[in-house]
Amino acid sequence: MNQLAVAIHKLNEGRMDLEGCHLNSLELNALKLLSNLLEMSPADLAAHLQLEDDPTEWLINPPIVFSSMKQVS
Amino acid sequence: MDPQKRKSNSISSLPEFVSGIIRESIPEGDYQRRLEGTAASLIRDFQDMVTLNFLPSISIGAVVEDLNKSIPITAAWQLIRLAAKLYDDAEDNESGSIDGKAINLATGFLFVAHAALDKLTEYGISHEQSQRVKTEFNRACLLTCAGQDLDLSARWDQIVPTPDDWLEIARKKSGESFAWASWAGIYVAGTSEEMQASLRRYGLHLGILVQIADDFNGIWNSTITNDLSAYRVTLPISYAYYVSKSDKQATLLGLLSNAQQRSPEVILKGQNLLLALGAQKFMLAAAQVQRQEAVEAISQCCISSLSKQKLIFLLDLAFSALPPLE
Repeated sequence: MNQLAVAIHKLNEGRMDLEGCHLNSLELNALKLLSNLLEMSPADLAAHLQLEDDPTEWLINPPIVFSSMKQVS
Repeated sequence: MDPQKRKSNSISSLPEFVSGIIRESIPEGDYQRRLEGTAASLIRDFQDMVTLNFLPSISIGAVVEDLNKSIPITAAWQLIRLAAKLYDDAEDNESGSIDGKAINLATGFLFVAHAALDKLTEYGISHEQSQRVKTEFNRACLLTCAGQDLDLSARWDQIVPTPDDWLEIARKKSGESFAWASWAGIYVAGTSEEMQASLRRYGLHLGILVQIADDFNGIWNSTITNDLSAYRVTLPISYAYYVSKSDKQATLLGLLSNAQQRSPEVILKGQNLLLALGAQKFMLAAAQVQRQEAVEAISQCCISSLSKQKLIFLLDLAFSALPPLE
C-alpha cells in the first residue's frame, strides 16, 4: 500500500515518473479503474504504467460510479 | 415451499433467538430490558437480509438452502458488532463523555454472543464443529482487540503509521472478525478446506474495505466528531503524511493540532489539504484493491452465481459508502 500511495501522489501532482513504484497487478488495476479520477486518459496512464493490456477496454468497462453516501457500520 | 421463502423463515427467528438467550440468562430487570431493547432495535429480521449483518447467513446460503444452522453464528456476529460499536464510540469519546452504562451494555453483549454460540449443538452442529467455531471466534475477537489497541496507540503527535502499517492494523481490527463471520457460516455447512479458505479470505478483504470506508467517512462525511479533531491516525492522514515532504508534514501536523479545538474552519482546511494531496483518490484506489482481492477469493469457489452476486453485493455496499469525490 505504501507504493500505491506514492504512485497516487505522483499522479495527483501530474508527475509521470512512476518507474520506481513497484505496484502489484491489483494495484495497477485499481489505478486503471480510477484513471478518470486522476484526470488522465486511460491510454496515457497505461503508457506511464507500461501496461501491456489494451486501454480501450477501460472505456468499455468504465469505473464504478460512487454515488451512495450510505454508512456501513 | 418456495426455497427462498423457507430460507427467509428460518433466519427470521433471529430476533426471538437473541431475546430468548437474554431472558434465560439473566433475571428480569432494567439491565435485561436494556440489553433486549438495544438488541431488538438493531437485530432485524430477514427483510433486509443482504447486508453486512447477515454475512454468516449469506455465507452458509452459498452451499445449503437451510439457513437454520447459521442462526447462532449470525446472532453472535451481530452482537459482537453491536458491542464493538458501543466500545468504539466510548473509546473515541464520540458522545462527549464516557458513558459507563454503554460500556456495561457492550460487555453484556459480549457474553450474549458467547451464549448464542453455546446453542450451536442445538442447531444440528457437532460438538467438534461448535468448539472450533467458538475457538476461532475468540481468536478473531482478541485480534480485533489487538488491532484496536494498535489503533488507539497510533497518535499523529507521536508516530504516524505508514499506509502499510495501517493495513496491518485494519487487518486485525476489522478484517479478522469479518473473516470469521464469512468462514464460520460455510464451515458449519461442512464444506472443503479450500472453500473455507476462500470465504475466509473474502471476509478479510471485505472487513478491510469496510474500514477504508469508515476512515473516508470519518474525514469527509462525519456527522459527530471529525477524525481530524481526534488524535487518531486514519488512512487519509497516514497517506498524506507518508507522501508529503517535511514542510507539508509540518503543515499537516499543525492543522491537526489546531483541529483539536473542533473549529469548523480548521477542519475544512485540513480536509482541503488532504484533498489536494490526493487522499480521496488514494482511498478509492485502496478500496478498489481490497474489492478485487475479495472478488478473486471467491472467483474459483463452487457456489451458485446468485450467492456470488450476494457476496459481491456486500462488497459494493461497502464500496458505496465511499462518497463521490469532491
